Amino acid sequence: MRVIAHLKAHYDYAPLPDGVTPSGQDIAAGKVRAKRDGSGWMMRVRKERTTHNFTALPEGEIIRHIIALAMPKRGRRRVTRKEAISDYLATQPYVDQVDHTDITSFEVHDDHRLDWVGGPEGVNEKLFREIAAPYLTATYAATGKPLLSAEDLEAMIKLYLEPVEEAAHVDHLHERFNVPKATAGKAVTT
Amino acid sequence: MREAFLSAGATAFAAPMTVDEAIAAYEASPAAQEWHVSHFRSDLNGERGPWRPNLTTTTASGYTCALDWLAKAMGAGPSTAFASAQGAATATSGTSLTNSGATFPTAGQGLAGSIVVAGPNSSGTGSKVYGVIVSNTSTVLTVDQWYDPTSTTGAAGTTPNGTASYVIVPGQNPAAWMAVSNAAHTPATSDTTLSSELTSSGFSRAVGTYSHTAAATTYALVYTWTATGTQTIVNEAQFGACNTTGGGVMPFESAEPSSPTLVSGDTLQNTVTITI
Repeated sequence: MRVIAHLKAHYDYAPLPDGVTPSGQDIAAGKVRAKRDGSGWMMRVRKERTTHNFTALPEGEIIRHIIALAMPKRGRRRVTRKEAISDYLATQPYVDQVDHTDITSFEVHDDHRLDWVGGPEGVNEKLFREIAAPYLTATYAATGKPLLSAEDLEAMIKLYLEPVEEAAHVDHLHERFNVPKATAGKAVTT
Repeated sequence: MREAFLSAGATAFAAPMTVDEAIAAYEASPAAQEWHVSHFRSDLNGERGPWRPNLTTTTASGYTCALDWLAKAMGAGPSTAFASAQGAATATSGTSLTNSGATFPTAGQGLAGSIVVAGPNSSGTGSKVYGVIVSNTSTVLTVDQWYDPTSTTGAAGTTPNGTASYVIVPGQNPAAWMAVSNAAHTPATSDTTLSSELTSSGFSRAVGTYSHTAAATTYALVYTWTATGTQTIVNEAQFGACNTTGGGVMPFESAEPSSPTLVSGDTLQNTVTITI
């Protein structure tokens, strides 16, 4: 799965000038981050330019995110594949690269058309079951029961296998990131 | 280095200095010897963790040195062009390709870190795969594994035919594999492996999700681990190969602050943001 977010601006980082001390709030808000050797800070800056973010999201990582959200400490949340993808983008790679309000459109290249070469990318029930298998036997200390039951797994796979074309992914991403449909991106099949 | 130049520049605007003073200030800073900076953050059970500095293995020996990896990745390295860069194998195994008539370069680090692509033999028989060369003699390439080129997660492919055709590609394999360890060890720039790298409880080495904004000075790698047992995460690193025995180029290494102990069902999502 490859997701391209077209942008009118993006985050970048520059050295915090000498004599400027970040507050705890600045740090918590992600406005600065530690330099490589811990000797100072880099500040997050917004650069206005037409550009795009490219994220190559492995199918295995989509599945692992679905399983992570289904863990007891994360509320046993069950999501569809498209919901997992949008949640992953919002909470992981975009956090330090993209302000949601700077997204102008999305482009999605799903991989299910690669089935003919026998590759593991794209919707893959076999891979889902392989990755989920250890969590059917590993137990949650608070209950002594498996982290996932067989019923949990089947319900998760049913949601995961929900048929979704690239256009639907694009629509969902626009909704999730509140990007106006008027600037909707194109869905591309590869 | 870029950071150091910017810092030096900022200082110059504030208080003019001579070139000699600037050189002295530059050389006095250990960070000035680095070619980039790297930073990590992680989410533990959905809660964002702190940023923390990390280091690059700039004084490591052999092909695991971050500087050597970068030079060969951007400058092509020893695999640029030589007679045996393409040919036909005389034998293959799950981790090797032999051409008994070849003269593969062995000086220095040899072809370590380069990619060899193997395809069907002259009869059209055999798989299409690639491997990362971890060492070589003049006639044998040893790879970490044979990869399925359609996989973005580094899945293993089928061992190529014993008489497979092959090409050794200029450059180096990208360092996109992410790993964690549970050993009490302070990362050092001379490290070549991640001490006590975890391979159990759901914490095995894996390829991260790549994300980059065009023209930005950073890129990110992300990976999700969900524990099936109890482990304390002490260090983490990025590798240029899947080698499950702990090998491969390791350009980045970082200590986990407060070394979180994860129990079965806990999730750790690490985002590594690397400034170029």
